Amino acid sequence: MSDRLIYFFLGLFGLAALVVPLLPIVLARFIAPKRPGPVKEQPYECGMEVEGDAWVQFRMHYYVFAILFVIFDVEALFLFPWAVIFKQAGIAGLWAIGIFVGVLLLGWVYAWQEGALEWEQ
Amino acid sequence: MRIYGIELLRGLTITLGHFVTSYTAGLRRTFSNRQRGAFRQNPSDKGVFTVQYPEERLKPPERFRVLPVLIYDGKEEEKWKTETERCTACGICAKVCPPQCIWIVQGKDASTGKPVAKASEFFIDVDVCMNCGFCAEFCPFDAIKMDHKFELGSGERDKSHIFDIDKLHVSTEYYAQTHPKAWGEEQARNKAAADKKAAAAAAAALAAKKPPETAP
Amino acid sequence: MGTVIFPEWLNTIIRMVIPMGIILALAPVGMMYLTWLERKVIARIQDRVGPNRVGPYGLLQPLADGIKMLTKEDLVPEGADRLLHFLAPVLIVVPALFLFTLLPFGPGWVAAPLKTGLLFFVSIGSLGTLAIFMAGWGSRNKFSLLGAVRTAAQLIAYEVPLVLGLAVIPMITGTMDLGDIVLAQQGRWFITTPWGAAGFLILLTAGLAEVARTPFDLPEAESEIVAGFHTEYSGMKFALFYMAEFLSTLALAGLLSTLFLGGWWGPVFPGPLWMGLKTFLLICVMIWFRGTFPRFRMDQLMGFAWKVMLPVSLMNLLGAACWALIPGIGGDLMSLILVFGAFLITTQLWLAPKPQLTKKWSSRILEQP
Repeated sequence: MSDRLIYFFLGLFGLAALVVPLLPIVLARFIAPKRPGPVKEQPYECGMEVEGDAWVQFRMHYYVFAILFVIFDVEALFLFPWAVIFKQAGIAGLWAIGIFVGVLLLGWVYAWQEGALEWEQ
Repeated sequence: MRIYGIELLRGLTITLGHFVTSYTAGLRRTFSNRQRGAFRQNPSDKGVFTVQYPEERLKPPERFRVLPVLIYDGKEEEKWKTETERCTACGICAKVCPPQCIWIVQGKDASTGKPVAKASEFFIDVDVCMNCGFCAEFCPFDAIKMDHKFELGSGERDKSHIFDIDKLHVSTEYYAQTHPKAWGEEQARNKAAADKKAAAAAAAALAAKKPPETAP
Repeated sequence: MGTVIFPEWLNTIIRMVIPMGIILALAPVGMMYLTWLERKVIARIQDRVGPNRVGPYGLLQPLADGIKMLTKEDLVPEGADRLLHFLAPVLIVVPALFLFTLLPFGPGWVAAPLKTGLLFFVSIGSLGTLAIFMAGWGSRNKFSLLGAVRTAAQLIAYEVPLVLGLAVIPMITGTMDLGDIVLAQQGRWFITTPWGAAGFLILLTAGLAEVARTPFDLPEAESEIVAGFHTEYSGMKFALFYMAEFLSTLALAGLLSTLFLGGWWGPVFPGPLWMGLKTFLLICVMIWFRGTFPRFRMDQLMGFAWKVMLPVSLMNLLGAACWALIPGIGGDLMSLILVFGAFLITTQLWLAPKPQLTKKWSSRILEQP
């Protein structure tokens, strides 16, 4: 199969795969009982009275992690093309990618010793 | 300095050991002639300890107590009779019962109408009883004892959960089976009492036969 | 009677529909029996019997569970985002099913032989995060939201070592086609090389974290946040989350056996059987882990990802480069030293008790009465 056909297949597969989750949900809609009630529909809070809303602002504990993730994921993105041609690129390619990763690792060491990698401040 | 991660491997060997021995111990059990379920009570035993309850039952320990029963002297096949029944309707059990679940009606003589030392009705409310065993403890006639039958579930509770005098009676034969140790102790106690009584009677008889040494 | 020759377009369609049907029909069944296997194995580890009432050896238990789930009321909490609440379980299952189209079960036995299969696997695999966050947000429940936030943190943290750990494979084989990667292991399975063994462990750990299985099952930590992102799900929708988890586990085991355990290669038996056997063994190992290890704490989880897994997987890349460039035993040693050295140093830096800094002499003098 050519690449285009494969992607066409994957698209078709995605549509067909929707059946697997949708079929039981639709079936359950007919079979399962439906007896809603005000207490039943409260958000679950271990049996306590519901206190406040869940959709509130709260401290995002780890935006630093998110930034680090972006950095290293982009790094991985650059690593893959290099990895595929690693044998052809040889020592020179290793040096190039080594410097690239090394710079990022310096940043990682800095982040660690600054305490950015600690979950609890 | 310790090397991290080694203990994880040790933990894995422990669980693998349990996994394997659960099968090997099971194999050994199938070829062993010990009673099924008996080996699951010993803490040193290995392997699966599940007791498949309705199919397999463990014998409850002797002092396990559920619900009082009334004892009559005789075999299990015989029905209880007022002659063999031990209860004298003294009502001590009903008095000491903390949740007050025992109800006794004293019997009356059919011809004279005088009360006799036998219960005509005896009820225990199963749902109220808390299995404390005070009734058995206080009974002066060894007539009420704690039983082992714990499977009391039923679909209805207003009638079937109030046990009457017929349902409460069990034979001494049954009691000797479920409580061998207590039954043995009771027998020994009764025998000792009987011996003492006989000895006392013999002594009294001897004393009566012998003339007094000092005449008044 | 000559052989029937289908026209080209019909042939293509048949070659698409058959694997599609097989995957879509077998994957849910496989998932159901995975639940049975998991319950049985964990029961044995804990000296119990496990399900044994429904059918012989409890083999019909998954079916009974399915019927139970189907007849349960589907509750949506008041004020929830109904669309997201409905979409999340649907969207978490579909990517998990996609993963199976990429796995080669035998020579040529692959539904979608993509040239960039490895990357596609990772990118599809990480789509689940989105669905989990949708579930957590859409439920409008604090536990769900906490669970979803945790999941997002965990999955992005372990995404990095996962991807870096995967990069050693194209380095050595020069291809990202999963079928070609298996072909490259004809002589020697990659797990027998030092970088392969280390990469296998890295990927197993990071993969377990990606599919949120014990010891990385914080997103659904029962003891802390009820059930995490699927607190507000009941009935069939709840079952779909489980299905996605087990399907991803299955796909992860398949990927690991493809990349490191030589895929369909093996003596005597036909290829697909070997592939199945290796996948099954890996699944058993994962269940074994589940029966053994307690759950991580959140700070340990994040610390482990960023402070240990990241440098170790990078060093593994360097080790693989050394292995490829230095022939003979030197490359092996170099590779081993790099990975284990990185592991030893980072775990010491991360976990070992920090030495107490002695106070400066000036402050010591000032403290004297």
